[in-house]
Amino acid sequence: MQWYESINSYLLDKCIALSNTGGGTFIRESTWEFPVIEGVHVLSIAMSVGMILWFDLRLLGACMRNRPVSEVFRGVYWWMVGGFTAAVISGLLLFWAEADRAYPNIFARIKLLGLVIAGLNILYFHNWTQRTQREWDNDPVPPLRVRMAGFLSITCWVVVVAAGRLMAYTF
Amino acid sequence: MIREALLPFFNWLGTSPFGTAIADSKYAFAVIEVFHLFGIILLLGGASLMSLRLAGLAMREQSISEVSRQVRWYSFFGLMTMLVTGVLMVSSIPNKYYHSGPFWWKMGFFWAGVVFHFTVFRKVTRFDGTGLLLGGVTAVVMIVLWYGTGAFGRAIGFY
Repeated sequence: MQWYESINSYLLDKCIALSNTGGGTFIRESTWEFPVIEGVHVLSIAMSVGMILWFDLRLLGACMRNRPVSEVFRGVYWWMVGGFTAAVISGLLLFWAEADRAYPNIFARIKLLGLVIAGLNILYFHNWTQRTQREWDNDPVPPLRVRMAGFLSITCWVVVVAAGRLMAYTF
Repeated sequence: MIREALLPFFNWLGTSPFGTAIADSKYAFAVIEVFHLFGIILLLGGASLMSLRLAGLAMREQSISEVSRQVRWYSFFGLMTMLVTGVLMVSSIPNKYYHSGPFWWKMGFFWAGVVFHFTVFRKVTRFDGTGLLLGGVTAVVMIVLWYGTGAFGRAIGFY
């Protein structure tokens, strides 16, 4: 496991250096910037995840059943993407300021893992599941593989949000 | 004046069985706060969807009344989760909240949001003939009240 130890200490050194840069120190020690960035992070998560969950519920056949899946997707797509982009940018700024404490934190790692699985789920859904969308687009309750994508997405976002909040208690 | 009148209620919350149980527990507050956040996500997500539809900026292929029928329970469930978990959080450290400036701003925005949501917003989103001006103004007020509630809630932890 020596390779793990060396990668681990290399990344930790990089994170400590990152948080000690001028930008990281400025955000961390600011009176207004840090709270404002964190506020933007929470509110943009609320908007984007709130809309992603709404679309996931359509995949599960729990809402908007009389509307095609593609129509519900089109209706919220740009707002999901916009909110998520704001969440990622504000999240990276927060990480910049506290990278040294976030790197070894177990909840930060769980959050990152949740985001990676959510991303893979989106990729799989987009590249494989959606190939047959014409067959199930109008189904009030889509087939199992589509519902599985919705369920996995909801699970990932619940984990991401919970781990993100619990990070603050373990810093 | 309202603040002083509510002091006995805050004191009672602090001595209530659930208040003392949460205060004594190591993990209860953190877990309740996570659920509070889920409530905020559902409320803000649902209110954003409905407000954007009203302003003609999202889900334009569905009518306003249809989106309203579908989204209503989503926001309502979020609101209830937020309310119950919020009371539980306050009950564990009532003194901190009572003396926090942002907390009272949050309460102001929250109750104004509740009243606006169940009166004007509900009425406007029930019909399809709402003009873009009335829809847009209603949407902006609703967004400001709910996002303001969230922003001041976050500020409690800092100030």
